Amino acid sequence: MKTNSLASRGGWMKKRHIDRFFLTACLIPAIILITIVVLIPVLQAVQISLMDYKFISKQAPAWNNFGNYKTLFRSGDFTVYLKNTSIYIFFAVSISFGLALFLSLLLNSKIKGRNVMRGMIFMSWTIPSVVNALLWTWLFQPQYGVLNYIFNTFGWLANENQTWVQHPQLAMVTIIIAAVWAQTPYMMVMLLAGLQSVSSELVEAAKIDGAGRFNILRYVQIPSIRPVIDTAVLISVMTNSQMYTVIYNMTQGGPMNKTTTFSIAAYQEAFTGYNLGLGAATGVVWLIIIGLIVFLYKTYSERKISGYL
Amino acid sequence: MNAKAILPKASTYAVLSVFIVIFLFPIYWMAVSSFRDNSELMALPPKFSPIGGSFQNYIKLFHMSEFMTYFKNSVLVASSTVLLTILVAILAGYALSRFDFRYKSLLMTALISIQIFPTTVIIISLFTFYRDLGMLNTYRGLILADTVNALPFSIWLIKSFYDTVPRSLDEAAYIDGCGRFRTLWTIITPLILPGLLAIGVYAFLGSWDDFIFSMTIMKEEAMKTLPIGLAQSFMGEYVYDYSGMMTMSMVASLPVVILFIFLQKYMVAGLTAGAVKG
Repeated sequence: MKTNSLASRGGWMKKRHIDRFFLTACLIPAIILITIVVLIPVLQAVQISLMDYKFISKQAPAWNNFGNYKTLFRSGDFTVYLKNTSIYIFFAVSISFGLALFLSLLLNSKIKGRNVMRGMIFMSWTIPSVVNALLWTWLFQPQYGVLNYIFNTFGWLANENQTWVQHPQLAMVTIIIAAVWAQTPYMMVMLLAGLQSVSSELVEAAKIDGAGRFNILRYVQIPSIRPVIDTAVLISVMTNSQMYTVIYNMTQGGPMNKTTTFSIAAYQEAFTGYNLGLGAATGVVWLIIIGLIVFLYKTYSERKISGYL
Repeated sequence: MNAKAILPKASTYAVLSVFIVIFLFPIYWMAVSSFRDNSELMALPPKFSPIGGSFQNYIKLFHMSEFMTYFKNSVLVASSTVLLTILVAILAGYALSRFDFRYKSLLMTALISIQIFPTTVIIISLFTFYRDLGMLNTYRGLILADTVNALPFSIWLIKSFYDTVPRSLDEAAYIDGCGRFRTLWTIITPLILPGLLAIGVYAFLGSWDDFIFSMTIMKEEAMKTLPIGLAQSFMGEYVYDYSGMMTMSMVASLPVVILFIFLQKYMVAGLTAGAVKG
């Protein structure tokens, strides 16, 4: 048994009690904060979603028998939101992952100034999201934006003043680009760290066996960093499923709801449409979907995702 | 060194340089635009060089009292978020590192799954909850929200840092008569300063960047933070004030970019610890 100094000093407070008190004291602040900001609001959101809760209505909010959910599904809005959200998440995650992997492989080779270069690419991650949105809106400005100017110089545009952010089909492209620009560095840094911790003995052994660069990548490096890949992709999916700021400040979910994801829809219905009940219902549906995705991902992911998630 | 060894290297540098230019160009463009006024920006061809620009826009910006209010609020909220996050994370992280108890793994899973909850789900009822508690338009309301935003990652990271400190140190201090809290505060925690810096930076970035909590909680002009101020300043008739927009964007980005330049090491260490063990 370990020495129990206070008990051995004959104290009336046993070590056990102090430990219990200490443990609770340590955990209580976090638990309280999380309860206030997450637990109670989520439970309330479920409650609100089941009620007819509008900002301006004079009556007290009343139980509405899943009315909000019915509205959401029957109006076809659910399908629109699902489509937009899926497209956005799929492309944002896959493009930033592909790009991040590519860049991290380049940085992983024997080059000088790796940290400086990594830092320069990483800067875009630190830029505040609002700035990101406004900046890309300016870059894509139809008449005076520098991107259109560059594209026109190459003669790539049929329409000289091509609209991007306000264009029904292209709006989605612009928000994905803005998201990829900001998120790729983060993934790149994680993947790079993973690549640098791949056992050099394994790589050497593969080289001795005559494996070319591509096969080394495929059979040694990628499998070795599988946990990092899984974590990075999961974080990216979660980040993009939450995405609000960039989309709101670039397209406001438009034009014509073409870029309205679940996140945007929930907020809009609650605070612009003044229908808290419907907004909450949209949010709850989204919560269930994302919860399912994460659950399935973790269950069927064979490799152990790193301890973080 | 034969040609075969040099060539791959040269092309690697070349490709990397292309991407560095692509990633940095928007930031460069933001800077260049902030040195020009709208008459120059709304003219083609665009001027790619900063030469010939002026600091006019910046002078105008710092005379704008609303801007100073937004900036002050952001600094206040972000700094407080950092302090509160570090405090709460140290306590929780240490407890999770040192103790095993019945619902521990449930607690840890719950902690991590908080991040799955879409913010828009939370914000709708957080709004009504805060309203009923009288916490709308208060600093503490926003600070609480931003702190909780940073907690899951912060607690996890701090715990993993504490895990690297051998328990024998705790025991030794305890045997010497040092109380639990004192041990934590004066002996163990100083050993994980890099971890504290990492979560400090992380919490600051998250709070500085926050848009949705601030937009929903702070409705009064005097309480709004920079991201909100930035977004609303360039709406309506001001939507074409690109030079003003870029100038304010530059100033809004500067603190976090500077933070990043000086504390890059800790930031990266913190982030990669999330993905790679050891």
